[in-house]
Amino acid sequence: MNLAAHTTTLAETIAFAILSAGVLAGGLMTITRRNPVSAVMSLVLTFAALAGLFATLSAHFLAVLQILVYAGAIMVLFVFVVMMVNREETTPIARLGLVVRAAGVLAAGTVFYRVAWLVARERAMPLLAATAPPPVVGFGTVSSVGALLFSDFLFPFEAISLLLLVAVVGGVMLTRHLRENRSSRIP
Amino acid sequence: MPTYAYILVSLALFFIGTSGVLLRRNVLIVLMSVELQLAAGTLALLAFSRALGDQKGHVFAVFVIALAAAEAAVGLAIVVSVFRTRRTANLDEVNVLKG
Amino acid sequence: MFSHLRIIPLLPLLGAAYLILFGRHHSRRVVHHIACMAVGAALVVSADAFFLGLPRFVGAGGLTDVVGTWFASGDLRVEMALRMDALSGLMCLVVTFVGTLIHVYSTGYMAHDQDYARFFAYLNLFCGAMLLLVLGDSLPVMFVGWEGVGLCSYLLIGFWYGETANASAGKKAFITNRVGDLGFLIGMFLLFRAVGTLDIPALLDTARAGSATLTATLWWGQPVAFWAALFLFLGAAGKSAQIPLYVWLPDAMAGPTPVSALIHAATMVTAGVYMVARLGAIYLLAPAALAIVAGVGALTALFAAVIAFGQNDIKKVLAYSTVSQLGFMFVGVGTGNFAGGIFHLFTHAFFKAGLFLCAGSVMHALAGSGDITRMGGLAGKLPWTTWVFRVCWLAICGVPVFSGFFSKDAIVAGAFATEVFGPRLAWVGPTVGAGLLAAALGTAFYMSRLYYLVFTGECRADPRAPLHESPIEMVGPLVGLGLGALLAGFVDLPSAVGGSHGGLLGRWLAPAVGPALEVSGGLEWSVMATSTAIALAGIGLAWLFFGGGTREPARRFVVALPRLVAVVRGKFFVDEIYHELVVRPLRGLSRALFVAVDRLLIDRVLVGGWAVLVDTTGRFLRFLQVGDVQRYLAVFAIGLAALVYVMARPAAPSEVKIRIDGRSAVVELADREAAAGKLDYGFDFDGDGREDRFGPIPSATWSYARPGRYQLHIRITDPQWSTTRTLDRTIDIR
Repeated sequence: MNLAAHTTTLAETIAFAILSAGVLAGGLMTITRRNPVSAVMSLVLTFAALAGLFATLSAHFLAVLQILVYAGAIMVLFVFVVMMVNREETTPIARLGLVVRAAGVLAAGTVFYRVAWLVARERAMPLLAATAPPPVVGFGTVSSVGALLFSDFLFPFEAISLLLLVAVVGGVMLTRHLRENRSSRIP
Repeated sequence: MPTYAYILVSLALFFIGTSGVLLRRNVLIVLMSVELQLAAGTLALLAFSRALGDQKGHVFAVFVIALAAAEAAVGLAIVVSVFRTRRTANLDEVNVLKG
Repeated sequence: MFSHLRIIPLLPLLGAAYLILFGRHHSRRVVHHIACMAVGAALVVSADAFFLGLPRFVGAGGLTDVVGTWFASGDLRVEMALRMDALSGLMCLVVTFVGTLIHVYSTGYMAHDQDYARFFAYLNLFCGAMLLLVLGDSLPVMFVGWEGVGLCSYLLIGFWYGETANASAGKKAFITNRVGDLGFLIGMFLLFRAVGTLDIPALLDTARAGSATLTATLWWGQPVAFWAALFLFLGAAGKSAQIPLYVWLPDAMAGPTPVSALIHAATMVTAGVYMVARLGAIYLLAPAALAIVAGVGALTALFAAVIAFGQNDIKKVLAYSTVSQLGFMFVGVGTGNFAGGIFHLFTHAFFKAGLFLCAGSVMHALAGSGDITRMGGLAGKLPWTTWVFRVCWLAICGVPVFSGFFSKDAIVAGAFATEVFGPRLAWVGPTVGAGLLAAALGTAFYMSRLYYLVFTGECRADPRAPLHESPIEMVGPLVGLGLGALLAGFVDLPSAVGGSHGGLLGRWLAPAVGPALEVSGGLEWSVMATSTAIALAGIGLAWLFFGGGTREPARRFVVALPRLVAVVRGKFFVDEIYHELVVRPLRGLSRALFVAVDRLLIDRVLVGGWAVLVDTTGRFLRFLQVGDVQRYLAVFAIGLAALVYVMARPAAPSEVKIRIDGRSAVVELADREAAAGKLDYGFDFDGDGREDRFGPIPSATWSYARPGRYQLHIRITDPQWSTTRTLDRTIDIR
């Protein structure tokens, strides 16, 4: 565990502030937009800011991955489907069982509050107070993460590719036109 | 920035995502909120990974992103399929159970 | 000692069991052979035991056979034991002998019946139960037989259950018996409480020794023995059809005639008499109870005889006659003349069964009709039946030489001569004696009326009826019983007549029931003369009214006193009174209970209530399963929050110590180790809502200004989770 002390520079603080504000604002906008297209766009903004946050955490490979895969591929997928199913909501929040669900949100809120309180209380703890990037060379770069992926984590890597194959097949199966196939009907 | 800052942001983002899952009517927005939750988890993962100097967290985060992609793909396929028959993307209109 | 005794009741019981299970599959020949041989074998074994075995064991109280322990519970121990002494042996012989004859008779009488096997099965079952009753050596065993014969009576009365009337008659018999059985049970309970055992020899020995527990006063100044005897007599009144529980016997004539002969003449109805004689020593301890027994017996004898005057069904006349004659028997045992009562039981078995079988023969000849107003002149057509009937008729009237003469006189003489009642109740003896003489006059009258109307004069019957004599299997037993009715009297001749050959039965029964009653020669002669005169008078009066068919004097009597005739013919409306007083209220009550308990309580509340409960709960719970995923997740989150709340609370302290020192109080909290040092505390001593002491230390001290009662409010906080637990204690400052 390398927990070298390092005073946070002002630039780092400002960057963090702007980026977190972007993430949180983007998230809030996502869940509050009536128009699904606006929601998608807000989500893209969120992911972009999040990628920035990843970069400040020295997770460079992942920052790029986030932009490429998340903001690039997944969000495009969302845009396609949103276009297909584009209906503005008359009432964004469902009426059904609103009380129970609002209570659930509040309950979740209390849990998060407690955890946040705990974290805030214990922020002096070494794990939580660490600021410096670890002195390992190439921490978070493509080559070092890739090396891990193809050595210790080869099996999960392959498994994940299989999972993606399954997802592709599933996606194709689920969206086949019903007229075309007689033998395999989708209920 | 100290790790705890990132953790607090992660918590807040996760809470935002949870509210969206529980409260919104349009299934696509719900799916997006789920993505928010996953992203919050990834953030926390990377923050602790930096604090511990261990890159295994990054590997894990890669897997999380892959999973999110797979899940989004299948989920959207379902949405499309349901939309085809029911012409709606609202969660309360696809309920067949008599409550 | 004589382990073959158990065979006697066992054979008929096994016959019954076999016939019930497999009788349907056998031919009638096989069925009646099995049944008759079962009873016949029981007769042989009984005779062997009685004549050969018993004399050797007379001193030891007779032959005994202990099969095993039935049950032992607390202080009560009941053995499954049988005992044959002179009394029970005599009863065994009567039951098996008459029983065998009637089994044979039934092969003819029931020859065309559908349920042949069932009839013989029930008949065997009855014999087995009756034998168990008489041979039982303890009251519970006797009670098993007692109930068993009651059951068989019910089954056989309602044998042709297709007719509702028959089934109702069976029910009436059983229910009336049940009332009596309650008395029997209460009597048993009282005896057990007083003596501590229900074994008959032990009970009798205790009674003869003048037991203090039995003579102790219980209620209304009467001893335990009185009440036990009285309640037992209630049981006897039910079983032996005495007032007020006789009403079932006339209705019981709905059953087949062999049943009436066996059960309702010779055996079952005599069980009450047997029981009183058996427990005689207990009755002797309570003269008042004996007086009641004798009084009820005499009253019943007279009452039933009068009712018999007006009956027009041959079996009903005989039924009331049985009730009346049972009254005679109870007068016998009620005056302490146990041998006399049993003697009459013995002779009555022969002549009454004989009369019933003759009635069966007559009804057989008239295709089942029993209406005596449409009989007459049968003497020529049914010769054998007529002769047997004549013998039995003269016996029951008490004409000398025939058996009934001797047994009735024994009872009447005993009533006048008895000293068992003591000085205060001495008047009871002669009173019941006189009552019996009146009843004897009535007996002679109604039986002669029956004879004249059935056998003499012109035949008023339907000409299409068969009108021929019965087959040999019916006539044979008839003759057997007739011979018995003729000769049975000679077992107990009064000493005035028989000299040293007299009083055989009395001497024979003495070891079981005590010494026979001493009657002076003069009294005996005067009783014999009086009863003969009465018998002839009754027969003559009946001849006057009914000789050769209903005659002018009878018709004029009916016209002159129509109301009296109506009351007598209506059986004094006792059944109707019972119906209004007992049956209708019970029906109303049971209906009310049915509606209240069964319909309301059970159906609506207990059954329907659960259904409503399940329905409501289901309706309520259904809202949790709406298919709305978001709602599920919300509930999930709520559950999670609750869990986190519970787990994050600071642990409760293992001990809260409060020490009061004058006006200061010291509070110490002993925390569990895991939480030590990490919690924050607050103490509010004076109840004003503000914390007086707070900090990370789990103890505090405070001095109070004034004495009084204060509420101590303790707060424990986990700063990490910002969760709090509170405790309250009370502090008293003196």
